Amino acid sequence: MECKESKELLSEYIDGLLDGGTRARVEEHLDSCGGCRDELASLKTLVSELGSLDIVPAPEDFLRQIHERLDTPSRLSRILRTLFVPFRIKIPLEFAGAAVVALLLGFVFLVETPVIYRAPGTQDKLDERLARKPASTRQTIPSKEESLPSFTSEAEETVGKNKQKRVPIELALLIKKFPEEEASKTLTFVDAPSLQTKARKKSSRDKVGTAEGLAGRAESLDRAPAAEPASPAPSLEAQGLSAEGDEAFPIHKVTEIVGLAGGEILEVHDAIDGAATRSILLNIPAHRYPDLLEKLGTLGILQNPDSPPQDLTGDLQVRLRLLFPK
Amino acid sequence: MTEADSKSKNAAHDDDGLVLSCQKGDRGAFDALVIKYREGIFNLCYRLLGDYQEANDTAQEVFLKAYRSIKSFRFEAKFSTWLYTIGVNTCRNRLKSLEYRQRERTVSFENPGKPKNIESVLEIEENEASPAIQVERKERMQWIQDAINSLPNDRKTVLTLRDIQGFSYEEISDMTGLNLGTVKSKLSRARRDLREKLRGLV
Repeated sequence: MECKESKELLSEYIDGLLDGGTRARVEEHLDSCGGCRDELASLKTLVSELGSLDIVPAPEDFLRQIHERLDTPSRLSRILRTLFVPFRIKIPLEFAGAAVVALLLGFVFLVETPVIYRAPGTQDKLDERLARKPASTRQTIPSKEESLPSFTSEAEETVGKNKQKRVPIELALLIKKFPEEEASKTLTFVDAPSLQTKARKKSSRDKVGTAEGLAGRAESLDRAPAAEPASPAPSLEAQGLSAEGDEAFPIHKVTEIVGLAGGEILEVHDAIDGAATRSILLNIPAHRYPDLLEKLGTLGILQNPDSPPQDLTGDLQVRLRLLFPK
Repeated sequence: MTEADSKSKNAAHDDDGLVLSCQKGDRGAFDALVIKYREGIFNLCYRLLGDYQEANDTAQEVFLKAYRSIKSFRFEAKFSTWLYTIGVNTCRNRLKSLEYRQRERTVSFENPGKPKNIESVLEIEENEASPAIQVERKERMQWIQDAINSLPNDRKTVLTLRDIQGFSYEEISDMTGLNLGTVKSKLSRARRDLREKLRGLV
């Protein structure tokens, strides 16, 4: 037996756990090996020393401390007892509390609030615009909403500016003489700048219409022109219009036509070049523009009317030049 | 049957009676068991943990666990084995959380310093030898305890149960859950390590 094997068996040898054969081999080796004998001796001393270690006494109140811990509920038990005892009172209260909390959280998170974004510097621009607006049109913005951008007023101003900058549609109307003009005269559309007429058949005779006041009559622009009244049209003098230049009647007629189309006359200008013209700036809903052209055509010859706008929303500005025949 | 076996059998029989009473709610029976095994459990905890206060807390925890689970004891083994198994497991768990403290404890023979813990615990009996011998004895015990503390936990446990507490290999196997061969090898290793650490002292 080698020393290494012998040393590993010394512990069991001390405790008497080796079988007969192994024990004999260990003892045989010990007889011839002083080192292993020393090792055995030190191990026996150590085991003896360990076995004689003083017993460390427990505290005198060891049992009392155990009783205290047995009788005192644990922290978890105390918490549970505080929360749930008595059951019939605390559990309903806690459910009610949880329901209130859930309602509050739902109110906070589920009610959508508008998110308002504002570009930096916007507020200064808004203030300037508000200051320029007439006092009567200024809106009083509550203090709470001062930080909110006034998109409505800004949009309105933008639209207004756009309206002002809009290029009016140019129209020229060569007023025909009436009522002496032949009723069968057809409407023509000529290319600018010439006034060459083109024959165009009309399904019905043009109706010049009678001269009536601006108080107006409810005449549908879609109504087919009726037959000429049997009686001749009242004279211009009877209408209170100047017979000079035959200008008053067409202007009033134009005014009537524009009014019935839902538009409004913005400006009326006399020609400054001495020509017998008048310029009328008017506003008309875009979708009524074709009707306007049709009705104006009853008053004369429209020169190069622009095509109806593709976008029939909003209003159009039309500058109508009335050309009076000499 | 030897006298030791007879005493052990009688003790176990006494324990069974106390346990039965305890299972029925007899607090006094539980107190009796605590008094009987107080020193053994406390010393087991002290030797494994190396600290008096830790040993006190852990030993109380051992008995509290036993009290809470006393009804699950089926009398298939001795109550002492069952109780010490709880003790070994509780100390093992505690050692894991205190492992950083065990690494700080080193055995220094060059400058052993003043004895720790035991000096404040052990009573100086009047019939002891001279104070010098008593101090030497206390220091010696502290050095041994420090050397035990430096062992790996499993070897320390087996060494304590066998050489300090006096349990058999089979009982140690039951308490630790290690098979018999592992108990033998770990004990052999622990003894040899301790001898190396205490060379010159023992």
